[in-house]
Amino acid sequence: MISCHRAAELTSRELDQRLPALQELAVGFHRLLCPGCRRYRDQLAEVNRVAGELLAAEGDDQPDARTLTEDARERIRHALRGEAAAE
Amino acid sequence: MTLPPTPHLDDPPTDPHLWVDRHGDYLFRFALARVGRREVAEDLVQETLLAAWRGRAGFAGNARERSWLTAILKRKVIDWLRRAVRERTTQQPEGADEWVDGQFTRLGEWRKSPKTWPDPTPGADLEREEFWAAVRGCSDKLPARLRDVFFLWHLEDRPTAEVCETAGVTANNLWVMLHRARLRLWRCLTENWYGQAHPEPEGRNAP
Repeated sequence: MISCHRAAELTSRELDQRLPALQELAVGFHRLLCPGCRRYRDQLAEVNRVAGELLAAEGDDQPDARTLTEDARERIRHALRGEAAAE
Repeated sequence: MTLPPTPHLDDPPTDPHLWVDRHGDYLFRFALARVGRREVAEDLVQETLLAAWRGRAGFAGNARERSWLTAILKRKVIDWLRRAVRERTTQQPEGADEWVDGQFTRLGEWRKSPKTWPDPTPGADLEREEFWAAVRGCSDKLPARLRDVFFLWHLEDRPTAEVCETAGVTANNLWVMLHRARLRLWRCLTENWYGQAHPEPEGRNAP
């Protein structure tokens, strides 16, 4: 039987693609006998979903006080002025 | 017939000076959440606004100015992540990862077997904010190369082979790195959020 370590690798990969038949069978059999790896599969799917949601959210949806510094703002304005003047 | 004035967000992008004030922080947060480095995020915002200015003729007035800018920025974020991944990976198989190996015994069994999570759903708004702060905190703790691969993978909407090709990683290394990133996120979120009881305490909304 494959180890939990190997099962964890395959569990991650399963989130992205269908496994080759033998591996699918191996990880399925392992989980049948291993409650920890069953929980890992469900919890990893949740973690992955949440991470995807974090990335799908756009700037506003993220409660985050981080803003451009005044320096950066001035630099960007300067670059835009240069670009506009060059035309 | 006179049309009513459109809200300012829908104005055609004619005045790039206003972009910085209107959208600068939004775009900055968008970039920062994905590349995780302040200076890089600032540069990407600047490149985006310059590209938008040069390409303003192509702006279809039916899109919101902000969506248009965000779409440009997203391409730039993906390009940056690809370069970052490409620079740091080789075609060699991924080396050992001591942290990951440390999660398992020599026989490959969990040292700390996954436990059932108490009710993990963040409820109130305040709790949601704390939740997202925890998720961001955990993703910020990923080693940079794993973080970049993981985020790139989530941002790309392409077949695996193409993602690997453009980022210069083999498919096997991609699966290994995604596994290592997710295992870390899972452990961190279990310790910092899901594994803890989150009762609704009284007076949580008190000032």
